[in-house]
Amino acid sequence: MRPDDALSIAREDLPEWLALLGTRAQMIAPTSGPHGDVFYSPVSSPDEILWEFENSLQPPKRFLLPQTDPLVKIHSDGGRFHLEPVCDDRRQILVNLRSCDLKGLLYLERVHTYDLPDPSYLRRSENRSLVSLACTEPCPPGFCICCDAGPFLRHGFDLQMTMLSDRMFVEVGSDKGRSLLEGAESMFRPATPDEIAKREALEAAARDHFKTETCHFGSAMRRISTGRVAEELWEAMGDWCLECGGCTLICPTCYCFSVKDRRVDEGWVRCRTWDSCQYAAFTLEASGHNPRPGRKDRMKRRFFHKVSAQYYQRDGDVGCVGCGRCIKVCMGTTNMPAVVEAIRKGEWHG
Amino acid sequence: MPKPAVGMFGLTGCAGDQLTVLNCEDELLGMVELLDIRDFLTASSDRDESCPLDIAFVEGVVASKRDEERLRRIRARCDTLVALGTCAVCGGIPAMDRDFDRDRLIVDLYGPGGRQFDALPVRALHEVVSVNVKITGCPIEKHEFLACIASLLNGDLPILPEYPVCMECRLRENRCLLIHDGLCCLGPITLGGCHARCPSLGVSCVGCRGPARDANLEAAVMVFEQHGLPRDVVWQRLQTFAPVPDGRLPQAWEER
Repeated sequence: MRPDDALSIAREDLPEWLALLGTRAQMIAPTSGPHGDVFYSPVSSPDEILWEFENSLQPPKRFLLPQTDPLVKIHSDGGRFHLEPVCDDRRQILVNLRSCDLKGLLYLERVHTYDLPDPSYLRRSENRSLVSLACTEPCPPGFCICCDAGPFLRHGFDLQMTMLSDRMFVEVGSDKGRSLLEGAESMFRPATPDEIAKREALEAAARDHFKTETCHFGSAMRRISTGRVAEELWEAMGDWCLECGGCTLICPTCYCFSVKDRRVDEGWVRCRTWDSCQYAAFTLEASGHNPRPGRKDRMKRRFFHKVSAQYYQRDGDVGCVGCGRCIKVCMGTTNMPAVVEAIRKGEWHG
Repeated sequence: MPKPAVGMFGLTGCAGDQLTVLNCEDELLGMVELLDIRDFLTASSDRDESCPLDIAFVEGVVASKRDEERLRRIRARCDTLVALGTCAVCGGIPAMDRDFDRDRLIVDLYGPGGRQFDALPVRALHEVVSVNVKITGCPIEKHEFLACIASLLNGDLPILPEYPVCMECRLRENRCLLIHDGLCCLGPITLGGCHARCPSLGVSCVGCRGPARDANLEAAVMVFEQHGLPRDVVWQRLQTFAPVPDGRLPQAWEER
């Protein structure tokens, strides 16, 4: 942490700073919904923002990768078709992201940059600023520490905030992050050595929270990448999957999609829509052939993508940020830590 | 190009699907511009009962000899037969008791005089004739019906959901009724397309659209049992709307 990258702001000045940011871009933040559930949604005032909350069940990925993402406008003037790319140039600031979710967005960014850069995604990403709130108290099902996705981040954020008793510790991680401080310089001052020490102590305490690691990706990766997972194991695990698709739809790193055309006014819009590799119809071909016909085939595919060394090399990380959402949503038992454990040990007990 | 000739028919059923079609008020005028509706008794008594049809929509089940004859006649008249609604696709509520002794049911309900009815064990359309398109739902969803017409007009078959209700429920960011509230919500095994209407209102899914493709019924029953719902209650619920296997189902369902 460079000295001029570590700042602090009085907690009572936060609303004024955030209100200022709100005049420059749409602010997305955790808010309280019905039944006390937490949702990331647009806010019009800093008062709506939650500061102490259990992470939302839906990750904030839809602000970068919308459920229905218009890519190209198509219109015809009789004989010829004209294509016009759709750009999302809205500026948004995502505030109070949890470390795991921010890490998830970085993963998606790499996926959409690799090989064939995805202009639609990258354009949107350029217009988003990511401000995270470090987890001083890790959440119960989370295992971010096993994926290097928390509880505190080292890089990747535009700003990372850590709540100290009366001040907010703010780390600047990028030029985009620094620009968020413009016009509010008087509210911030360089962090004192005491504040830096406090922040380090909070991180150490948060890391200690995890005790022993709960998800051993390394050994699972060795087995899955070298084809040492028996077919019978996939079959046994597949029997416990209800194929509801919940795990993929709430996963911060999942991006499987389908493509649909939507009729709009006198033309069409080609849209990318969320889909799930766990559904049989995802790989169903027009001929009726399905290369992944069984539940076991689809499960194997999903975890190969998430955990194998082949994908690790491409994406630079395991396809998991340890948020623990799949543990919460799985009606059966095939969540990430359970499957990683089964792959590692070569046995499954349901 | 001439407009395709269309017929809309109801066998034994509640006519809810035909009403849903008539309730497409904003689209009806556009529809008649594109379709030549020749035989739709629920909408008009002025009809042609014998002309050849390009598309026939049929709702309801085959519950009598008369239904069967009508369905065969419709099949012979049309190029494309669309089963409309859960009854037509998987038997629906009328097929709930189709494995019972029919004579006993008739006598219990109507007395010995009931034997004059020509009631048959209830069948879904595909058990009697070949069906080209299946639009499920109790009643059907307007948008699926309209999308089906649009696809057929373009010489194509509609792309209908094969995923479960959970997909749309998750997309709506709903709270899970099964996990959080322990309700017997049939979402994970029921065919989506309804935009998770009931779970979005806090009401558990009753499976009115029939089973999703490749629904894992064994695992679902295990999960429901963990939530304190006995196996036979779960089977009963599953059978309420979809007692007839529709060919998409895993073997185990047929062997239950």
